[in-house]
Amino acid sequence: MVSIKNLYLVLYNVVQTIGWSFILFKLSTHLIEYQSPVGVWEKVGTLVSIFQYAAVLEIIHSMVGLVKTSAATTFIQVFSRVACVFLAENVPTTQNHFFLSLMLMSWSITEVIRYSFYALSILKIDSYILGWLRYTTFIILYPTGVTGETGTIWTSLQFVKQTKFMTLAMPNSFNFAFDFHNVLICSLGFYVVGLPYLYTYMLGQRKKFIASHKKGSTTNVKKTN
Amino acid sequence: MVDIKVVSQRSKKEIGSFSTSLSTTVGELKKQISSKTKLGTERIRLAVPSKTSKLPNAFEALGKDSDLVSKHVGSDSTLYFKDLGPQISWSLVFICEYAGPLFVYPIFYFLSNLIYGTESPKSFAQKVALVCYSLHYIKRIYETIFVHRFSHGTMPIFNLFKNCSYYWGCTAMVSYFVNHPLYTEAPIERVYLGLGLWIIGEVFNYICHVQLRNLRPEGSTERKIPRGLLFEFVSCPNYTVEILSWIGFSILTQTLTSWIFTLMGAAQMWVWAVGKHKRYRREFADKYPKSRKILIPFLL
Repeated sequence: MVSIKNLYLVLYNVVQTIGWSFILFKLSTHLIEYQSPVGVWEKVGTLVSIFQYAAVLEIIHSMVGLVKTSAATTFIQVFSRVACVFLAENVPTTQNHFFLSLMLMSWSITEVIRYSFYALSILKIDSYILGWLRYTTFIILYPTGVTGETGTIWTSLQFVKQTKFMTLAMPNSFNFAFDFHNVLICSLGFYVVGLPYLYTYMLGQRKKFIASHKKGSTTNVKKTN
Repeated sequence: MVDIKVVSQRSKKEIGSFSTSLSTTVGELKKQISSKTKLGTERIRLAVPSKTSKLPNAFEALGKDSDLVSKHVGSDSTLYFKDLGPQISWSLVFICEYAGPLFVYPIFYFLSNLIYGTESPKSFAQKVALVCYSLHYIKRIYETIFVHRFSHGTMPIFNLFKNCSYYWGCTAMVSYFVNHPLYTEAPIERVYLGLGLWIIGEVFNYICHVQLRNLRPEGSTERKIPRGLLFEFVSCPNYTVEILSWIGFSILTQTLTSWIFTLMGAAQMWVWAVGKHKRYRREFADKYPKSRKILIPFLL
């Protein structure tokens, strides 16, 4: 009998898998057909927004204890993604750029694998291939994803500065100022620190995954003997 | 005389067996362990498996003044040892925390040219804010040295970095905007309203601290129910009026970052107050006044 909690989580992960598969499909056909990143955001932007903003639910999942991951880690992961989507929605100079396509390509491949892996593991279905992909593809897709994200931030800088987008200047009655341009530049620094940290963390996870599967297979052999 | 086995709480490795009398205090036993492990007594924590908690790996720390018998430690008992890491005294941490704001806040006020590139005459609210902010931290340092009595001598040294970066960072965040050349002053009646709330908050905060001090005679760790004035309404009136004082400061400066600082402080004080309230209730059970709320009179 599947609990309501697991039913919900499976449903969530299946919906996300379908969503990101659709994005991956539309993105790939566009890139193959036109051989150019121009028009990518127009084609998949709305879908990306829907499914990436929906990932905010994952922060709530860990806050209420539906999943074991810490809320802080989930928050950082989801927040940086949502921020990039927000930029892509609002800054036209990012939309037709190569960096945005690189970012969306890396995200959608990762997410299709990740969400389907989660959905199956909640149902206690052990798929070695999906697990292997989950803990191997990041070796390439993390660096390409980060290149795409930082590149997208980079290509937005000039526009943000010129149009004063999301920028609040003093004087005002809150006595507060917010310079989005500077915040974006600072965020690039976080990527420099964050990437090596997450990368080594994932390499550790990969080691664990492979070790546990080796152990699993030997015990299976023993049992059949 | 009995032999007490002491093992590491984490690795379960034996630290050693210590021959002692059961009327010995935990503090005495710590001295013996200290001479063997070469760790200062203040960083040694001794615990027994918890009898009250339902969690499988819960431990209950032993206070240094309790004797072994009263904690049901017998000859076959094992005590669990934990190295708390390098320690630092509470008063030193407090003084570093509070000296920072005292130093950081005026930088923005006096070195305007250096920070904002321009200078403009300071308004009345900005002058008042400088005095309020500084007095608040002078008061805190004074209280740390002359008023508070600390029941625990030390805390882990990491807290020094954590607490200092919080207080120093928040001060910079508030002071940067309050002393900005393009600062907008609130209507004068609001400046006075904020100042009034601030004064009430600070005065009553001091009164609460003196009340708490008088509750515990010097050198004792005896616990009593605090009584009188604001303590009749809530368990932690010192936090209530501290929050009031920061609300006053935020009103008088009309600055978003000050409101954020107030909110973060209030959230932290709420957590502490809930803990304190529960401890009072547990310790004094029926003797603790039932109508007494946690932080907000008659409400919460």
